[in-house]
Amino acid sequence: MNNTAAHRKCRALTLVEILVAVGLMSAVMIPVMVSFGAGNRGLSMSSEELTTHTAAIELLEQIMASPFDLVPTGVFRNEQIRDGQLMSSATPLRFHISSVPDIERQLLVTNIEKDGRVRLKKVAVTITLKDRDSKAQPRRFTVKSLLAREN
Amino acid sequence: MVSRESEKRLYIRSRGFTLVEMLVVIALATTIIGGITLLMTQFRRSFSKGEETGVTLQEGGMFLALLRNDLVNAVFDKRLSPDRWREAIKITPERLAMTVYTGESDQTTLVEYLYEPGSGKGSISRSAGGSRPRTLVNGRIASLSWELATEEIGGSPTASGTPFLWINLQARFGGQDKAGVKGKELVLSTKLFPARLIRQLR
Amino acid sequence: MVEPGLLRTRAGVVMVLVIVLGAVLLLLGLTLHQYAGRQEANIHHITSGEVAHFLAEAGLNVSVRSVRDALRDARIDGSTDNAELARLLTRPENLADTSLMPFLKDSWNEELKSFAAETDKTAAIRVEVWLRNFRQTETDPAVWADPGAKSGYLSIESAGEYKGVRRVLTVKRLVTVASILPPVVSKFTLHVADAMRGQEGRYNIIRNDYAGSITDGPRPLICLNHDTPESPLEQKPLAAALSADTSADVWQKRGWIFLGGRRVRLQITSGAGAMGEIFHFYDVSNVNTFQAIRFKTPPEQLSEIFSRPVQLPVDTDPRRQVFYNLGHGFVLEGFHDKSSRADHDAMYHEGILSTRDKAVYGAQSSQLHLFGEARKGFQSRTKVVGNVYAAFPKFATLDVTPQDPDIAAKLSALRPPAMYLLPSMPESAFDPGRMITDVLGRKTGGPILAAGLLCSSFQQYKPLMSGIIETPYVCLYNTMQDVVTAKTPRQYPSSQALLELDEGEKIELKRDEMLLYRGRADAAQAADVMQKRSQLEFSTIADFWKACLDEKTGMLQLNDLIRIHNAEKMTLTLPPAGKSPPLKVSGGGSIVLDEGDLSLRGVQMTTPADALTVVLLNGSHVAIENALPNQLNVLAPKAELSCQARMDLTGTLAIGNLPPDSRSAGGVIRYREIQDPTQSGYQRFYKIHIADRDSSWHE
Repeated sequence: MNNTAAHRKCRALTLVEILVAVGLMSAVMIPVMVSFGAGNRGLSMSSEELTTHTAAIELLEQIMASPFDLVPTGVFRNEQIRDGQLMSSATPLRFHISSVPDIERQLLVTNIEKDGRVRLKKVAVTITLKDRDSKAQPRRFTVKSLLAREN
Repeated sequence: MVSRESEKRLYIRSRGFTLVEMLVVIALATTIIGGITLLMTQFRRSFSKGEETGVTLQEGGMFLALLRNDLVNAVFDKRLSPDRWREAIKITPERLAMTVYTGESDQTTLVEYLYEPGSGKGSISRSAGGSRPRTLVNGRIASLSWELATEEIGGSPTASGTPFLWINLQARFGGQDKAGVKGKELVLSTKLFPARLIRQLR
Repeated sequence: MVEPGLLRTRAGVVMVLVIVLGAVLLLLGLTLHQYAGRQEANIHHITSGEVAHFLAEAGLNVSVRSVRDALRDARIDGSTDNAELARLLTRPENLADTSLMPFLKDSWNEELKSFAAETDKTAAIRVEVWLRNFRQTETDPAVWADPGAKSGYLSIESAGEYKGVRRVLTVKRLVTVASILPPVVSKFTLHVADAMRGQEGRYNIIRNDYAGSITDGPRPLICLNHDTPESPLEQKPLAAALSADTSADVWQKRGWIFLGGRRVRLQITSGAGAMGEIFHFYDVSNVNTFQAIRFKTPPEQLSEIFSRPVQLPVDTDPRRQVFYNLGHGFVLEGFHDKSSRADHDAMYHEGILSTRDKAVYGAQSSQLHLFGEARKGFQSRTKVVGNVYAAFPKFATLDVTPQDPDIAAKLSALRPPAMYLLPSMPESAFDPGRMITDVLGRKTGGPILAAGLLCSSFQQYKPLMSGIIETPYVCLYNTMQDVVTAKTPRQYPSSQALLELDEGEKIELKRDEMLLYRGRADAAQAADVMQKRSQLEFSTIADFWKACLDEKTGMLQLNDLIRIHNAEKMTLTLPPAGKSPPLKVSGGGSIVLDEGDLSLRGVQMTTPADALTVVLLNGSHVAIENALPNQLNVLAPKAELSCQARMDLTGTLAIGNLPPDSRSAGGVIRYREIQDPTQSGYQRFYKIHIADRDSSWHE
């Protein structure tokens, strides 16, 4: 009679043990899963950030390299910014754009006058990342600079 | 009391495991250990993948940053005549070369980027002024193409326009570790414009 | 009954396993998370760096123009004396890396601050301006060592910052500091590389009379080697000019003369007016009644017959013998072709000067007047470099003093006083029987005397007789020292030993103990130095005028050292055709013409604090086309000068050949003391040039 009781008590303890162990494991796994997930997400975001910044710099750099007088002013939306497309009817400058999925480009060029003459142009490029999860607030990156007449 | 203790110990010592118990234990152990091993392997693979992705990202990002920096400092070789402006940057499938200012007065040096393709494990190295090439991306280039594009803004068949040039860069970065775990691929498709060099050509 | 120990042991193993496993996995996860975080930081660093780069680029684009305007406002071109920045750059020493921010009115950093603020709260842009990597460029005294000449870079450094990442974009523009005055030759009023051209007396073509008036033909070219009361740019009051003249070493502060090549002989012009040069030997206090100076020969230089009374027959009564005391003296004069008694060769009248002298020298005087003119304040003595000799006649006289009172009274009552000139005789024609008589042929109560009585041989007679003296020109400087200090009695040669013949093999130019030049006076490399100083280049003369001539005002605004290649070998005419002379220059500088000649029709500086230099590297002609003043320096080592009109040049004339011109109207060259490289005024003639294009850039 003592052996059975002891045996029963042992099996009962083992199951509890396992339950506790499983429960503990689950509790530990949560932060582990979170940290792995966050790490991978972070890497993914960094990759997207790099790609997005590269797209922004590509557009800003070509404006900064263009002749001052030929750079048109105004707001240019994504559908206007296509590879090979004229920037505007008033200029021979064309956009040179690489194909990057899931982003939208916007270009803003404004004149800055000094002493009655246009001396500078403010250039702002905004890249919006189209989030696959269709969140309300998509991620945006803006890069700005100033273009001057040479010398 | 003491005798019951001894009896119990004796009982325990003398009683072995039954076959069923063993089988159950083995089954349980296999399940548990197997599960743990699987878990460990998955996590380790995930870690390796993440590590590979990170290295790819770092190397790819650094390569791009370095190339952009050299293009900022690029200058048209004074030994060339102005009509040879298209040779300001020399590009072949395996080599990209340009003259850059070193920062010491108006000293210049030749900077070369060399691409060694290798069945999805290509490498890029950089050398400046004929020095020993330094590897920037080691065996993590799945594919790379770079070419020089030029344009004469406002030009016509009878009159030349304003020189404009850029580099079209298409690269796929992605490596695998010794265990064959592949990281997430980094795809770069961009155009690089050396603004000061272009202004100089004007 | 269960053993509590057993229960604890079994449960403890599983727990430990779980904890260990969990810890390992957690560690992996955290490691990956951290790693990803680091990669994210790296990528952020790269992308933020790119944003910072564009902020720095914006900074440069905004500031370049503002910096240029600020440098102009700070008078970096040194157009005023108070320009602190210009003084910093032209200091006669090397320049360490220097921030220009204290010198400039910084308007750009405020603009950039507001742009950065609207970009991001972590964004910042600041642009600073520095002078960097300067080194002296003219350091070889064998060529020219100008301690102020230097070159380096104007460094505009734009620092963009974004999210803690900083990028600095630097653009450098070449800055050169160089003098617009030519090296070495700017110490000279007149610098002629080869004056002789095979004929040592080629300049002796002026026909003038005893009073110095021109009787026919060309006029002289007068060199005024210092500022005078009539200098158009730096007028010197008469009192100052006279006071400076008394200094024995005034030559150090005056423009020198270089007549290179072999021996040149200049025959001094008679007269004390504007065209005369005998202020060396005459008292010209009153130019209208200039007075000859009688030099007395010291008794110890005379033979024995002069030491005791000599008994000689009287010319009025040859039977009477009277004791006479004899002495010797002479008068120095200038060359004169015409007088009241002779139309040609007047100085050879009465045969006092020999026919041999006449055959060698003639009676015409030099077209080059190196020491100015007779007016006080205009007698412009200076150092003459080269194998240059002055020639002038010496009329030797015998002083006769009868001891007999009645003869003495008769002699002293004569008007004009009796003059017993000792005639010049060549050795081959020495005639001891030649009579020494009164120059007017009068019987005066003097002795009847033959040359042989004074001297038994030609060797004894030669030092006593009249003749033409040739002496290194610099000796006239020594003689002039006696003039200005009113030394009495006058002595010739002067006892002063201030200057000696200097053929120009090794001249030395120093300023404040700094050696500027040591070498030959012909300065063969001067034109090369000017060429190397050029800061801007033009292909054609037309391009130059287009860039530098203000069409509205007709003024030349240079403010630079420029070079014109001029492959078509056109002539540079100042002012250009179609513009009324004179050409007004509001910004001085230098013009180096690779090919082609120069024609001057009048050049006027609008400010005395500036200068213009024209250099012809290969041109063969410099022409003066009209009589308008030209205020500039000319350096044309291969050219010859031709004057179609009277020349009036204020500056330095350095020419290859100065041909004597029988049709020349002559003129004046006025040296500008302020351009003397050995004096401190030289500092104001530097021009600072900043390239209008980037020389280099770097990030």
